[in-house]
Amino acid sequence: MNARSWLSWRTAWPWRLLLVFAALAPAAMLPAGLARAVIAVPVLFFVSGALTIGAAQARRSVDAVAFGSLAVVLSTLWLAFAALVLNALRIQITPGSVYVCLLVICAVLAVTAQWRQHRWPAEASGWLAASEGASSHGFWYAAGAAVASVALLAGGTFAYVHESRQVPAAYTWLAWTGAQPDGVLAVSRAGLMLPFQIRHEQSGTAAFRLTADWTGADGQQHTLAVPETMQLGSGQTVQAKLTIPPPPGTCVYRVVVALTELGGAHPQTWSINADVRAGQRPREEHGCA
Amino acid sequence: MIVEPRPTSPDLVHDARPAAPRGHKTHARNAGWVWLAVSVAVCEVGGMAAIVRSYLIAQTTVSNEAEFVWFWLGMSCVELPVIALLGRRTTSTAARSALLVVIGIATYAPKLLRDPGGPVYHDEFAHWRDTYDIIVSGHLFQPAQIISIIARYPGLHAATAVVVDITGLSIWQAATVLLLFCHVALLLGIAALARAVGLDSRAAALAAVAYGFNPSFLYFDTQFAYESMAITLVVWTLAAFAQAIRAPTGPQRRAWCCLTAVLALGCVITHHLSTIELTGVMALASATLSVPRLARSAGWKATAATAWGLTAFTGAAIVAWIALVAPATVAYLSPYFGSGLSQLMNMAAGASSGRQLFSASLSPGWEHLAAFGVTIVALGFVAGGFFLHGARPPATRPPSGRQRALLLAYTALGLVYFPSTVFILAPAGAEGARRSWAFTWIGLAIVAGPVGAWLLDWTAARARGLTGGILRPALAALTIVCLVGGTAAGLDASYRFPGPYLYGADARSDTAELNAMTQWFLASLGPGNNVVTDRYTGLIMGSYGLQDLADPSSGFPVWDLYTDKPGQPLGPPFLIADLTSAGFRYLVVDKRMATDAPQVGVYFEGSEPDGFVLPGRQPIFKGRLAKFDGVRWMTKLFESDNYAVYRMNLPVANTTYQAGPAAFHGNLTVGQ
Repeated sequence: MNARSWLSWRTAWPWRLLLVFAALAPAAMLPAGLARAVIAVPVLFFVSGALTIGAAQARRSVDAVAFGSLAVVLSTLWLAFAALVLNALRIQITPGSVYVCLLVICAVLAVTAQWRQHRWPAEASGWLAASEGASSHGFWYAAGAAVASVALLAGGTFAYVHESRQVPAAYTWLAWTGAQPDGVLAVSRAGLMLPFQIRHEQSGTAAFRLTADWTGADGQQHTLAVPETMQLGSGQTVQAKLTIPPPPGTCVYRVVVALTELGGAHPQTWSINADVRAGQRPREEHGCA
Repeated sequence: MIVEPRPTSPDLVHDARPAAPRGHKTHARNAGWVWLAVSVAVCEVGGMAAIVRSYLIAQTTVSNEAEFVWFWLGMSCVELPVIALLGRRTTSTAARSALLVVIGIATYAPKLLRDPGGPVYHDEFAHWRDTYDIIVSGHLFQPAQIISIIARYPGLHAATAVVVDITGLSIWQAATVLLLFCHVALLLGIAALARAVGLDSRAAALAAVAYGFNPSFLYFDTQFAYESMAITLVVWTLAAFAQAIRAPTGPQRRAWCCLTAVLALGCVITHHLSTIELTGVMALASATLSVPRLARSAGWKATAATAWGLTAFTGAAIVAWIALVAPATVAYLSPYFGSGLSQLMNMAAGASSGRQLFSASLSPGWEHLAAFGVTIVALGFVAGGFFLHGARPPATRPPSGRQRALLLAYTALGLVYFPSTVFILAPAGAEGARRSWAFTWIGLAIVAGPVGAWLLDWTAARARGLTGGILRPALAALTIVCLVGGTAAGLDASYRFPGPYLYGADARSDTAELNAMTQWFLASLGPGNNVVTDRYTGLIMGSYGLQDLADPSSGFPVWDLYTDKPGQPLGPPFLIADLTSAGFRYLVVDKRMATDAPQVGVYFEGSEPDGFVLPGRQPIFKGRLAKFDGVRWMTKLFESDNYAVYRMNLPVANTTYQAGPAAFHGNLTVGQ
């Protein structure tokens, strides 16, 4: 085999594909996303599979489209196998480790494919020579069809996304903010501040009443703070807080903050609650005075 | 798959007629092809526009007949012209492959448009989360949320994670690219398999088209789930297997055996059921290759040995994987087989009534009719296959040998479709039956390909006059029935079309409110909390919310928390003990459980007890959800219009609350 034949695609395609895969490394310098994907996706989904077909010496018995399709399927598998290999070797799956692993796999496959082609050159070149025309036509037709169809798919998706009508969000919520109540909260002598948030995601402005009560063993509600009335506009978030002194005695009090929509036939109410008691820290309960 | 003779001209067609003088005839023929190409392109663009329109209509209505009409009009415009070109005798092999690529990519549109931005189907959320966990942790086999078994079959997640790592695409973008490749490769794989079995390129292309009518093709096998990748691997494994069998002994056979083994291993790490079914199909083919009357030809014993060897390898690989890596597979799959069969037996004995087909369907009646029609058409095609075989003079029939044995094996596989349709009546068997169709249709497609080619020739022979004017539209109508019916038999409209929120529909449960609650939860409480919730809230909380969900079962009946009546202690003691020991700290309630019956029939999972929906579609939860506000060991952290989040302060402490009035006053401050 002379130097010229080593440079031809027919005899040196495994090396060339390996080179293509190796050249993927600089693509990592491109910004993540579409730009890098345009370069990396065809390489990732073709090279290792094509080399596998070459290494198995099955290249000569498939036409161009079947070769390309099988190469895609096998390449997809190698992506998974590479991750499995790294996992088995207890190496973390990262962009770098995956790339090196795939490069090693491609190198092994390329060496095998090249060796097999070198060992049985007559069969390989004979087949390629006989079917080169059909093979290249099939490839270019399929490539053209793929480009046109992907453009159609992209156009359809763009039109759909562009024309889609977003369903307007319609909800209101009330929630504790900051450190979340965990069991019974201890209220020190300085008192306790319980911050919370109201988010209003409805169209238009609405009026609300904010109340704070406490309940005890009997479930009866007792007013804890003077209620507040407020207007909330669309998309508005309001920070609020409930400040309480140490409750009397050592019993537990359930504090309930409620937000009620004003007006309307069936006003909706949102509430949150927390258990509090006087003391420096939660403790085991053995009755209360 | 085997390379055909080199075409005599680079044109798109091989014309069998005597060569015409070059000149204006060639020019006219080229002009004809340009006109044809432009016409097909216009149909494709128009079809895509109609599909987009149908989805835009669907966005604002729960179900509207217009969305179905526009959709099928669009799909017909996209597929029929291409199918017509594929069926022409004069279309070259290369052009047929290109046209299959067009169908493959264009038929990805319905699913892509259904969810261009992120997961929508139940299983997609599970796979999204598992891929996320692999990327973040850098290791496979992370405990999976929503569907625990998927963690042990990492083929799809691992491949997606690698694409994300190397390209920097988002998980969803990477998955879309990967699945588009798989979808197109699936169609080309069917054509390759059909040719490896012995069909010519025309019949093989029509077989691929016929496979595209199977109920899973448009939506189920394009979702981001392990089956979607596995079915492509199965088809290519079978193609490589057929090629190994038909190749002469020596390097070629070794090459294809090697590729079969690699592809089969890919199936093993990707999906349990697909690999089991793959082994079954390979065993069926091996069995027919071992029958002397069918397979006897030069070297048939060695061929049968090769087939059995590859089958044994695949079977051993999946058994080893289940035994060593995924032992939970047996417990995961066995209820489907056992329950489906026992329910069918009960129905036969009159002990139960079974499922009512399309009972909760949102699709129009003509789609249901088409769904029944497609089974009849399939039956007709199989009968046609037998008729064609019988009508051929014995000398022209495939001689006994590998080709004949393989054809018989795939015919037998296709015939399994018909009894499997009975299982659709059993609640537990329906899912398994539906999933088997992606496999049995491989056999049906291989039978249908030659029959379709014959039908086209028969129609073409009567193309002139009134008969021709009727036959061609009739053939087109038959194709549309297959297209509509095949898809309608697979998934309900709530899966196929976008639309407003629908309680208890997996694919229409993702709302702005649910996302807001989930993001609040993640921001306030961090990831990885153990959470008890219903199925539909869990999809978002277990995926984007990065929370770890309870897996409800009869041994861990978290639904008891919801069904308990107010004033009663919550849950059986063992459940509270299990929640405590397993570190479950949060309960999320969707208040609509008290008012709505779920579209898919369950509130939690399939293993939940019957009777959660009372007669009159009244949920058992009515009046039973507000009790959580008064449960002393629960703290309510969040409430929105439809969701409430509680912290469960477990273990339950013996807390004493203030009895009677007390001078306890605080201060509310707003806006600071």
